[in-house]
Amino acid sequence: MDKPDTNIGENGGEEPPESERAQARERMAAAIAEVRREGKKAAFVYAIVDAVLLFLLVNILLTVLSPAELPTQVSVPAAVTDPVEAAVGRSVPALSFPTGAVVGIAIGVCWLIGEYLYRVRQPLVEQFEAANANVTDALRTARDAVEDEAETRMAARLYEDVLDGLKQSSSVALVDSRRLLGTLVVVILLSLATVQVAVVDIGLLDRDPVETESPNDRPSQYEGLEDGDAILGDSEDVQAGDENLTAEIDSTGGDEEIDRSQSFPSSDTEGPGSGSGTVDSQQAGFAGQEDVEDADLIREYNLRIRDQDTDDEDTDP
Amino acid sequence: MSPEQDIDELQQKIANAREQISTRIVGQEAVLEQLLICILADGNALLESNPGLGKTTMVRTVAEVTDLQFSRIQNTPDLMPSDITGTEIIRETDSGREFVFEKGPVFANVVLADEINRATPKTQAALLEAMQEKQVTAAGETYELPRPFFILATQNPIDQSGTYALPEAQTDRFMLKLLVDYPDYDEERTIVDMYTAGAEQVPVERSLTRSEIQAIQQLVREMPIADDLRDRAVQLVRRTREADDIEFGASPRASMALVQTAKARAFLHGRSHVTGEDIEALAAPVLRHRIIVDFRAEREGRTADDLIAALLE
Repeated sequence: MDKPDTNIGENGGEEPPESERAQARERMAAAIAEVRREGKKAAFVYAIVDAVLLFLLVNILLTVLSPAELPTQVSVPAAVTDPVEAAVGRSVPALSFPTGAVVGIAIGVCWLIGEYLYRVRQPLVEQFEAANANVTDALRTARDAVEDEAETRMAARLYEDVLDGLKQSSSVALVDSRRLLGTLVVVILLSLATVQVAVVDIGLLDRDPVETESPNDRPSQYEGLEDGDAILGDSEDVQAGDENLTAEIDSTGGDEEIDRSQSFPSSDTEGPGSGSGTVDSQQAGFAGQEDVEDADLIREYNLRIRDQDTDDEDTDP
Repeated sequence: MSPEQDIDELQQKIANAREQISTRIVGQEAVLEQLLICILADGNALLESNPGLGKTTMVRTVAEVTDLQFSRIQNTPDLMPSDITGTEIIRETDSGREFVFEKGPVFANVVLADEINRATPKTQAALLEAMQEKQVTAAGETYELPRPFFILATQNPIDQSGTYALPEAQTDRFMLKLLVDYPDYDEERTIVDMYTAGAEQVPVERSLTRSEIQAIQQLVREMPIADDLRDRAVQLVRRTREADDIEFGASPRASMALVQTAKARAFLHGRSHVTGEDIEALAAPVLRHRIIVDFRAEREGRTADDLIAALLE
């Protein structure tokens, strides 16, 4: 009977230097990082396209349905405009946007963030494997081996195999082009429909007439000083008038006899100084429909007329 | 020679060895693959089949192709442990008489323990230390067994009278239990033609050396496995302990065996990583002898393989 070999034999050839294995592991780690980056890009592409689709869908639905519970316009809150005004140093006109657009943007942004986070939380390496059959199982094995800092001969061989496989793989396969194209077609159709709805102004639900109140029509609660420009509009340069007009006023001469009769209210007291003529008091008055432009001026005129009359009587022989 | 070339060359050699064995063993590809896997994973295998299916020929051929020393133990009820491990004998020398340890048939690279269930429990237990520790203790002395070392035991599923069923503690030490089934019609006709005409034995070439087998065993141990696949193997084994149809589940040794044999299968297939297919392919051979089917499931005609297949789904 042959004596069996009881010694552990050679390990079948030279082992690669540890530095080479370490380099292979580093290259593999870099490749896996790149794979993860590609996965994030694909997740963002999906998320942005879906978010746009959702935005358009919500916008067009709210525009067409116009639910009575929602206003047609949403104003930008003062909490937003005030800092802007403070920053630019001048007042900012009040802004408002269609409710459908605002709600659509809000939902779209939420969807974008949510879908992106959801997709990124899915193992990106496994997603890449699913899209590239030539690295199935091998890539995640390499990933785990890199995380375990494995630098054995088989690990080094695995790294080389996977790196070779990655050269023949593509991150384009991460994106389902058929699904993406389908979504883009729907996005385009919804965009066209949005334009059409905006032009035709379709309303499917009964709703009160659209409030066309502009921000300037709304009563202001502000009681302080107003901005003149805001009220009167922007100032304009006005050219000085150069047209001369000639006004003619006819008057009688001062020596012309004036025939006038005056009557004053009768007075029971005829004392000295009282004239023989009857003086009727004449009260200055004004038409009821006319506005009193300047009551003081009228009063002054009355007093002067009375004084003049008194002087005339005194000077009469 | 680069490391890749080194590994590629070894994988090519193991493929050549498999091809050489196939020239002598017709059919039985699955059993042959599992047998090689067991060798690469440095384990022991239990072969179960009816008589006359070529178990001995298969094992002998494997030893021949791989340059391993082959030894056969025909188990009988009167076989003593010392008949296997060896014993001290008095030998006449020039200086007088002295006790010399005469190594038994277990001192070989490949030991075929034929019909192991016919040996007494005491003799069966003598194989425990050899299988697990790769060493033998006799007359107070411990002797290392040659490396690589495999015990490939066979047992007959029929004619159970006068047999001693292997205890669970011992069956657990077999990494795989292989079921050798009847060949199909074409294969059987080829076997008849091959062995009834021409040469008595089909010649095979040696394709692997002992050192190369040991190198492969080392590479198999170094093979990376993805965390999720490792977890899948562990969870599968753990489920055998929780399943209603299984009275007694598999031990953590089964988890280790499943991962190790999956690595060996990956190497045999020329890969540098384990796949889920490796786990699935080896679940039954690893677990079927480590679980005890509940009597209700047994009454319904379900076997251990059926239950393992259900656990894999």
